[in-house]
Amino acid sequence: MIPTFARPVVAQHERELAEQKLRDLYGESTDIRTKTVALSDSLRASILHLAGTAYIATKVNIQCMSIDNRRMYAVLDNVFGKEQPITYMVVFDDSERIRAVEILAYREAYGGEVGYKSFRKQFEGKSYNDNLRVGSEIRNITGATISTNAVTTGVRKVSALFHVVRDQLR
Amino acid sequence: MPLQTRFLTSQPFRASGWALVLCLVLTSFRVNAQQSDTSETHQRYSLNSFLEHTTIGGYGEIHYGYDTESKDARANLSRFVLFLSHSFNENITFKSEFEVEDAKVAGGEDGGEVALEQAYIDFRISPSFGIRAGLFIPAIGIINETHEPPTFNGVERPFLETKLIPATWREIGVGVFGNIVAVDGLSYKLSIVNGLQAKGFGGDEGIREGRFEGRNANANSIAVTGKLEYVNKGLKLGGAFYYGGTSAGDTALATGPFGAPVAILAADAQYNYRNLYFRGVGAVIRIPDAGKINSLYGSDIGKSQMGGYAEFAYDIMPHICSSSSSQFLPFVRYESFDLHSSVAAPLVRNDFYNQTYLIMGLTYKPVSNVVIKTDYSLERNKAKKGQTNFFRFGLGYSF
Repeated sequence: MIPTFARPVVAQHERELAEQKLRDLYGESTDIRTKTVALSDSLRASILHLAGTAYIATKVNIQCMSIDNRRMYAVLDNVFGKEQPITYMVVFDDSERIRAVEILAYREAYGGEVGYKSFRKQFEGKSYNDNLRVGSEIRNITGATISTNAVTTGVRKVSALFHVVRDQLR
Repeated sequence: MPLQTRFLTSQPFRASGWALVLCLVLTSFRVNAQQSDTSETHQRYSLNSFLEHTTIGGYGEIHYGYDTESKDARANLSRFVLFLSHSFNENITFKSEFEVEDAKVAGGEDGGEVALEQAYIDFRISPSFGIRAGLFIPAIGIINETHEPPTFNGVERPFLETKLIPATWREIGVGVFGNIVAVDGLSYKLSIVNGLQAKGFGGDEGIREGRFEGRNANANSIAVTGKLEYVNKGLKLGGAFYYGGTSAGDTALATGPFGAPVAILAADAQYNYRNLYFRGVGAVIRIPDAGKINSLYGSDIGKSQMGGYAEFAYDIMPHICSSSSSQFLPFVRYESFDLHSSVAAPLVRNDFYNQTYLIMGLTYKPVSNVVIKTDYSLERNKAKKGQTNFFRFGLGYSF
């Protein structure tokens, strides 16, 4: 039984932060449209099956963009570090490959190394069917084990989510 | 973080014993309520309740040691530590670490300590700039800041980071920290803390007994300490310094906040590639006025102290069971340090303080935060006095 929540676990100001980050990455004039996708129980069960971790909300907002004539998508989410949520965003291209992982807010005293580019770059080019786990495709940062695991699990979950909702975005 | 703990602590928490008991009793009711009321549950997951809350964490370790020379065995609940932290908002966080050492403190008996290891407030203004104030741990070496038992191999903490770098070393002060944006992976910490007290120094334990640890610290001497740290994938490199006075108001020794200084340089490296783990620390301590300190207080502190250790560990679990998330790490660590690497006349070097340790052991982590350890250590010194081998066994956790 997957826990159910009515709304996405993302606050408005985080969505604004995410949009600004996307404009920083892809240009100020990037046209970003938000599409809300419903996650049925069976879709959420698929995410759990693919990622080994549950997505708790029954809806998700996905930012859709067209960059250099290519469709791109961004999913924003929160995942727990040791005590505080880490707000992160994953950008996918239309072949479901990860194009970017961005840490939008990190709120703890330790473990902020997940924000470093060298850590985040490891995800680029990968997709939901790669083994996105610390110790496998992703390397641990000593002293930041909890947050590297948290972000990696989050990216794996969001990649699976993107895979199962892909058809609804066309 | 277990749901119950988070739920229990999702509201401001008064740390009195009765409140704790009451909360524990209430937890069971509230968890039931949570299951039947999704809107309340959602409240817990909404961002505001994420951000404004109190959490409890902790770590602990139990040690067994057998001295093969004296044929003496000891078992000890070495540490029981509780973390209590509260986030006032996204940027302001209080953190504390409350520690009981050796399980029990009884009047007049040796051993046992109840202490606040940390109690500070962080003001995170941006990723590149934050302010930390209170009782905190200067970033020197590895163990001082990161000492939860599952994070290091071996039952005992590395000897170098007990005797040379006196972990856990905390003092009262204020500092700044953050990322250096121009270089991905680089971060800094810089702080001013109360200084050490030379009266406590000695050859045997170096500067260790000169620490105040927040207990009515004499702040007539002050110290500046800082660290630069670089992280790139599995690599972590750190370089730290400490410079501070030690007269603690004793004008017979020196005057001014930086009188009779202690200077420390320390470097650390950690590297993880696939199943291989390496870590090493090197440190140098200089006390130019060691002669004066020794004649004034009748002690035998070295003028310079230095040493290093290197440790290799290899996780064999992927070879035993590739789907397992547990870890099984054989490791070996070699430590060498000399607390009398130079002395001020008329003191002569005591070879007993020139020590080496070879530790070989196994670390088993069924989950990442629980550890079962065993090791065998060869403990030697150049004077060949009191040399022994130790067999140790330990259990540790953190959450």
